Amino acid sequence: MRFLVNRIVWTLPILAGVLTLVFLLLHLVPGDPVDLMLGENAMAADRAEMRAQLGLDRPLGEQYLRYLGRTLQGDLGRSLRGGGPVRTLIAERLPATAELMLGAMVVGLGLALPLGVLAAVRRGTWVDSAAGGFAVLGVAMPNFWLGPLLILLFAIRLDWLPVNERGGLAHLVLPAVTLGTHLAALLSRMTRASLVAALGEDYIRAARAKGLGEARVVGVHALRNALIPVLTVIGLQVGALLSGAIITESIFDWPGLGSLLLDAIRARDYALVQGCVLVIALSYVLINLLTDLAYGWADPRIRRP
Amino acid sequence: MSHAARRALALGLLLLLGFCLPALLAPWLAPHDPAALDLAGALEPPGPGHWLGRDEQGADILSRLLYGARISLLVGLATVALSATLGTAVGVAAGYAGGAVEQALMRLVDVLLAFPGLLLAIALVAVLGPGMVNVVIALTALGWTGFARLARAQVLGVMPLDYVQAARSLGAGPVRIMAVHILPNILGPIWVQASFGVAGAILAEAGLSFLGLGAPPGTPSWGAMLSDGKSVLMEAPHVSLAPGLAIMAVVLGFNLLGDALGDWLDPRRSRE
Amino acid sequence: MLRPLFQGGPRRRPARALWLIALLPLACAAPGGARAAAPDEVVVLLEAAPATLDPLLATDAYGVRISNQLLFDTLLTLDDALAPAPGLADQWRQVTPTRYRLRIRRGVRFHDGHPLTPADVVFTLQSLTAATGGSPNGAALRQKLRAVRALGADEVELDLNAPYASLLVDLIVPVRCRATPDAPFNGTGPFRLLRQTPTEIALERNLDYHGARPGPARVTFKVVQDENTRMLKFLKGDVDLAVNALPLDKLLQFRRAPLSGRYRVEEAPGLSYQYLGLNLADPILAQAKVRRALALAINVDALIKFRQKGHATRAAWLLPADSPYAAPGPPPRYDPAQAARLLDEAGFPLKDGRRFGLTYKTSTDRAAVIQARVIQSDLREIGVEVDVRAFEWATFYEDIQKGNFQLFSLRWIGVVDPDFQYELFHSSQLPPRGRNRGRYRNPEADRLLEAGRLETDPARRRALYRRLEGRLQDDLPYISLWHNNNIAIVSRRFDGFRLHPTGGFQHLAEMRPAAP
Repeated sequence: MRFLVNRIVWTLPILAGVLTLVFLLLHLVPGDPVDLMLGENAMAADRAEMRAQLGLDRPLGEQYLRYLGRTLQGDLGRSLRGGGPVRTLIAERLPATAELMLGAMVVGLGLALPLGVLAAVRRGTWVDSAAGGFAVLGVAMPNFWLGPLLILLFAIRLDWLPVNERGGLAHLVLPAVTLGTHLAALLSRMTRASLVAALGEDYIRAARAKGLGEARVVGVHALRNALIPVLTVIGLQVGALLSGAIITESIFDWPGLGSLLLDAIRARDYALVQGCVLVIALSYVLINLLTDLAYGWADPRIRRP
Repeated sequence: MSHAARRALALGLLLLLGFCLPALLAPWLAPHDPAALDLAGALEPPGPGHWLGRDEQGADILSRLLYGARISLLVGLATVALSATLGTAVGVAAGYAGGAVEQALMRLVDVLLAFPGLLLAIALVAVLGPGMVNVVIALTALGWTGFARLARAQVLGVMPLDYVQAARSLGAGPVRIMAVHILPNILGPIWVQASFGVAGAILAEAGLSFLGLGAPPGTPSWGAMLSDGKSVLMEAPHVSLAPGLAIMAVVLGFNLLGDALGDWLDPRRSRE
Repeated sequence: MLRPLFQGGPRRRPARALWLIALLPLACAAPGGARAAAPDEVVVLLEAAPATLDPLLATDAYGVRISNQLLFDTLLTLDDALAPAPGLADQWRQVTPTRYRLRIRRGVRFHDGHPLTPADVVFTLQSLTAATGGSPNGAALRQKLRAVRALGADEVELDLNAPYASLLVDLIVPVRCRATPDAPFNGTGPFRLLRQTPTEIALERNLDYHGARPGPARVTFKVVQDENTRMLKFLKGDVDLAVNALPLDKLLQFRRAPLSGRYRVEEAPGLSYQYLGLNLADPILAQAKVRRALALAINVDALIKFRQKGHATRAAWLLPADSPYAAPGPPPRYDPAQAARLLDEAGFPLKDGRRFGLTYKTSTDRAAVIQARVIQSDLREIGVEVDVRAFEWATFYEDIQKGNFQLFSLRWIGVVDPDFQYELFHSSQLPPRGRNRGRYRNPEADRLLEAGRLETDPARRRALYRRLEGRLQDDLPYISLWHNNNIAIVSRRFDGFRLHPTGGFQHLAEMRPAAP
């Protein structure tokens, strides 16, 4: 319990640190958003007015404090292009990224579980080696290579799947596979190792002695327990999934937070970049917290150093 | 030599021969000048004269691949060398000092780790501007945290040991203790992490270059070549094939090397 | 490795959690895919989203075109021969050299029902040229307009600071409604704005339009940034129109089945002007011989042939050859040997294969970067080492403004009147005041620019600008590259679309479903 309280207490300062870091980074960048918005023809008076309107003329310290205050109240500011509230823009794009990440997790688990189980059950055979090979290749394969190749094969040459747009389930397949392959590779090795360890346990021998069929023993008893570490690894991999999502969204023109962020960086849309980074970091920290909670619940004896 | 040690050696040699040597010898191995453009021959498919074909500006892909290997090697090694040095120093200091210093340093690490990796790299490169030096700086700024955490955890394991306590009671200064007694005993896992780190750095640089944020235009970075290839995917898929395979092979090699090193150093450690 | 703790016994929770995770993405997936288009709905492809459609703020090409040509009507328009033509002002006369009277069309209504009156025109011009809170699009008018007032029921009178010759072109501005100053899309145009998202803009037909009834009932603009996806949209028939929105190397596919059966390609010479800007404040580039050498060393024809795939014409200067204000001289021919000689004469001999280095800044746009690399390769042949630096648009733009560059390449679009050169080359027009990014200063050019903008006699005006452009072609503040052709890909489902020389959507409203 103390451990959990400790974790929650440290979350806020970490987030404050994140905000500060982002704020500092963006204000050191060359490129003036006001020039970008108004173009070269704008009169100096117009520029000054816009700068005042957006609060960019105040000293840095003051801008920072105002930003912190507003953010804690939930106001993430307005986009420098078009004036829409950042909160709304992010909220519009968040479901797409969430969909992509969940899809990737489904693909990850969907590929990893059968492979891991097979590898564990057929330990030492060619099946094990093949699964191991997939695992090792999948971890090394860059998703910005896999993605375009999948597009070429399934959307262009074979025309089986639509591409590069968000829509029904069919549109999700290629991006989810692209993002989920790395996770699948990682998880399949974990599944195998975890299942192998579980199968060596006493209660498994007891179940077998009771006369239960092998499928039941493996699939029901061993697997259930072997899955807990696997699920926690998913929690740990969220960071990698988020990073991977930025690239995957760029490949597939997926209208999520990642492409919004890249676009905002290019336009020096300060408030939008800060908002996106905040939301992404916040999600990451929260998911890690939840993962630690789940971990702690599953094994109260474990304490992180 | 144990089986695991032999495996590590074999992989290390393979990487050396298959990646590092071609990278270093690129100027002599490359059949063409990688910067030689020839618009008339753009997107030529593989064939004699240009074994991997040509890209959109008519440059030879094989030559660019070889020079790209140099870039990957340099970025990977430089990033890991800097990250490992910085991170280990911070981690050992934190683990040794304990108390508030340790807490402060580790919280800094936590803040940096609260950013999904690529995010911070993108932001840093956007601030610093394009260029390979800036890429190394950005990747180092992220990479040192992993080494710091590892080093600290290792130090915590080593501190209670007898010989460290003995050195302390004999009045040895902290720096001496850290350098002579602690550091040599934690190097094993650091090397393992370094191997994975090289793979990670190569992948990250390729990702940044793919997004257009890393290598300056014309640099034959493998990531930039993949980005070029994506634009001509329909008419010339051969442009994407080679750099992707190269990245995969090199990353695979260093990952396997890391695994093998890990097994060699601590055979009780179960395979992940 | 974590040792499992559970000693047998049913523990269903992990399994259930798994199923939930599996089902969630189905719940999140957006309903339905692309809606099939109705027969009188036109889907237009854009390669980038306009920053805004608000006519006061829109400065990028798509924003301006959608707002000025579809949502709003402009006071005057430009016909296909690039002459000023009636818009919401259907007649005009010049009462004195500094006073114009415009007659405003009757019976026009804004989308919300308000009738168009001269007061709306006055409001539009005043708010456009206001000293604060005005629009970047009003910069040219702001310098020229002294006063504007309504006269009677249907006339507007304009007083100018001086007898500017090209005022009419500056009056191609969208007319806004005085009663609704804060409604940014309330125009009189053939279409109303239905919805705008970052990736899609939907317009619907304005049934009360004062002009010919618009053909399409709906127009949907789809923003697709990825080039492969754009091609796929054509292959799947999801798109009906694209104007200058496809990389040129993909055009060849439209000559073959199946695309040739579904689409026709229209091409016409255009007004965009691609150029290489040079910084004359730089000590190396300050020398005219150096600039001339660079111009001679770049094989522009090869670039046009291989990169533009022939869909461009060599540019001699800003305005195309068929313009009455075209430059007198031909573009420099490709002559690297002469270029090398000029550099020797300028005091930059070849030492170890190198004379001097230059940096070339470009945006990260793929075509721009490739063009930069080809120019780099050409200049290397004469011993000039070019360092290509690609920047995010924001940084690139700022550097150009500040004069923090040696070479850069950009494009001017829709240049119709030679007076535009005033902002580019007059010594008073350094940024941010004007667009003289290269810091060009020449007293003779200044005099000619000032005279040209006030000269109303067409023959004398042409002569003045010929002299000016001859001077500029010698001085080379820009190295001219080419004029891009306008290329429209139109679905055979529709008739009626024509290309306008400015490459805009002026004729979109005339599209009608083709007879089967």
